[in-house]
Amino acid sequence: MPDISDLKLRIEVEYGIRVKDIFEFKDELLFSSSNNIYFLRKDKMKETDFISVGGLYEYLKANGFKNMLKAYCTIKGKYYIKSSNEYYMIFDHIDSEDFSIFNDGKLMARFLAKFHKCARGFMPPAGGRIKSYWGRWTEEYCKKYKDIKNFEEKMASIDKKTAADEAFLKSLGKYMERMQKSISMLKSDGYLDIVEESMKAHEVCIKSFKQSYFYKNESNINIKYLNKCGYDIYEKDISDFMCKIVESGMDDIKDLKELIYVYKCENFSRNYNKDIIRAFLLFPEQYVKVCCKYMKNNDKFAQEKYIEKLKCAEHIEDKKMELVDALN
Amino acid sequence: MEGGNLELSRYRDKSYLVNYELTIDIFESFGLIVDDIVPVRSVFMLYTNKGAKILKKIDYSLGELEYINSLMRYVNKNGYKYIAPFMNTVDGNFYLKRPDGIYVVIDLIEGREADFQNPIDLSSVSKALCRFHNSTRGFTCTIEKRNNLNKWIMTFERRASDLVKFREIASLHEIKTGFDNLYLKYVDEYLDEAKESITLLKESPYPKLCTESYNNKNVCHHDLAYHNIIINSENDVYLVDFDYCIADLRIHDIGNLIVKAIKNCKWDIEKAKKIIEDYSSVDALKSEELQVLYDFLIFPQDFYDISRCYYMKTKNWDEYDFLSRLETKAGYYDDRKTFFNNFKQGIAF
Repeated sequence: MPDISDLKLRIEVEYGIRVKDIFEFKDELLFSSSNNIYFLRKDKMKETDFISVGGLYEYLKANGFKNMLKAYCTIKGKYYIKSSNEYYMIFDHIDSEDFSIFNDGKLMARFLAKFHKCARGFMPPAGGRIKSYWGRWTEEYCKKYKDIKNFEEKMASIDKKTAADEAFLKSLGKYMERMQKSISMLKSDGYLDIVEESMKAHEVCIKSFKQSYFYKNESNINIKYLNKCGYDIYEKDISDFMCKIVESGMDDIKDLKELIYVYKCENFSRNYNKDIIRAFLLFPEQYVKVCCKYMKNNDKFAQEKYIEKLKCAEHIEDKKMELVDALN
Repeated sequence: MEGGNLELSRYRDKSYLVNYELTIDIFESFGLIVDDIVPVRSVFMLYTNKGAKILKKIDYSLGELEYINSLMRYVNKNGYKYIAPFMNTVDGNFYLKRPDGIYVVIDLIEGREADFQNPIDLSSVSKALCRFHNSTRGFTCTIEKRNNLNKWIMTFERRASDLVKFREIASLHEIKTGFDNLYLKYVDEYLDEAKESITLLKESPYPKLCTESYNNKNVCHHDLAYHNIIINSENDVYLVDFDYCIADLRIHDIGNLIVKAIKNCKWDIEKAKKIIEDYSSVDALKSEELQVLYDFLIFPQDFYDISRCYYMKTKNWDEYDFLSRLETKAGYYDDRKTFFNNFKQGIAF
């Protein structure tokens, strides 16, 4: 539990906001002043990360980006305070309209394009540290491929296989082939050329498409928090977004392709590389996730649960594959 | 800084920073007006009227600090500009000596930390490292403590005997911890590697390379962690934190860079090859150096480090942390084996 009196004192001194009341509401820490309700968000990031996040708010604002939850800065211009060894940021408390990534795909695509455009060129202020994912994906995928290969060997060596063991073993070959193809596409010069271009332009990506990170307001999608943002190529964000859309249930390939078109119309800061998006989509992330969970915890009492999870992951991967073919 | 008061709550979790006696006169000595202070690892970041700076308390002798300062100046003069020099005090010294210790202030390099998973960063770092090494040539080491030439075999022999001692300690424990059990499971295999490394070094051109290096006078950075390599917006590679620099063969730095870059990606031989190629594109490594690099790499340094931390109690981690680290390091035994087979066939000989 936070030290409420210390927190109140810090808000009043550092932000210059007169606090009337601090209270918990639906697991959130809120406080009120005479004319507003604010939301206090605790985060486990390091101070250097907060410096960077604050810098990104300023940068986006300066570039005319309006689709984000209003974050408050202290009198000294910092976007965080520390109380009882925890860091907090202060945001406006909002009541969001009903929103789902499934129904609002086009709005989301437009939002993503706008964010990319406005965040382009960002450099953290002195002492700030932004996460960087540039050029990592070949290595990350190779590691995952090796893990799955070990998983296959382990499965094959089991004498008395359960139904779930059999189901996993049956599907492994197909997905390992997909993984290899994805890796070899990323190993082409095209990927590193794009990474190099992205590094020069300082492209910033959203990196997380969890629905709770966004809200809808006046028919626009807005982002709540920038703490997951990091340097990466736009193609990765686009493919992550497409995966999220497929996971949410959208399975009409024409609609999915249209989302990329909507994105492209809004962000023409550079030509995106279709083959790199295809390579990312080709990599069976969902399938790998389920395999890894099974590897760590193949509880014999949860066999049916895992078979169900496997089927679900395979369905998503099939849809992604259709999209890969459609983008060809 | 308002009224000279620091927000102490920000520093409670930084036990290693408690040795700093932060008072206004430190900043005044450097002519700085400090607006804010942020603790980062074992230093403080200062936001001042002269830009962002790093305040560092030195935990080695003044003689060694003078050696480091001379090296940084030498390297800069020899063309490697990407080093942040010490800032002078208002009295013209590059350090401040106080009763509680010696303090230095360094410009904060604006940029991002190198990412060894990014092939473009790694390529830039490998080339920059070679340029840095070239710029150290001719720098005379005046402090024996900072001279590591001809000392590898002795050091590895001492470490191998430490591994034996740790094995005895682990065996003596009546109730064995998870760490003890895992250590005992792997120690003999790693000891074999340590012995192989020592035997190979004894038969290798290592002494000859040391003699050459003594004549050329090379210096190694010796602490090439990703956070000690800063890449700015122009892709210039800055090396920071020279606390551990030593006179040594350049392959010491290359070997450390290779291990840091590949240990988290299953000891990928291609990545190691690329580092060597990029480094060599600036100034080629000789086949004798590659042979000794192999002998150096085969010593199980990672396994030794975690075992030493555990049995000599040099780190204040909990049992789970130690065990999970040992699991990681012991876990890549097979990958290391494959790596060395490929290294022999594809790189060194």
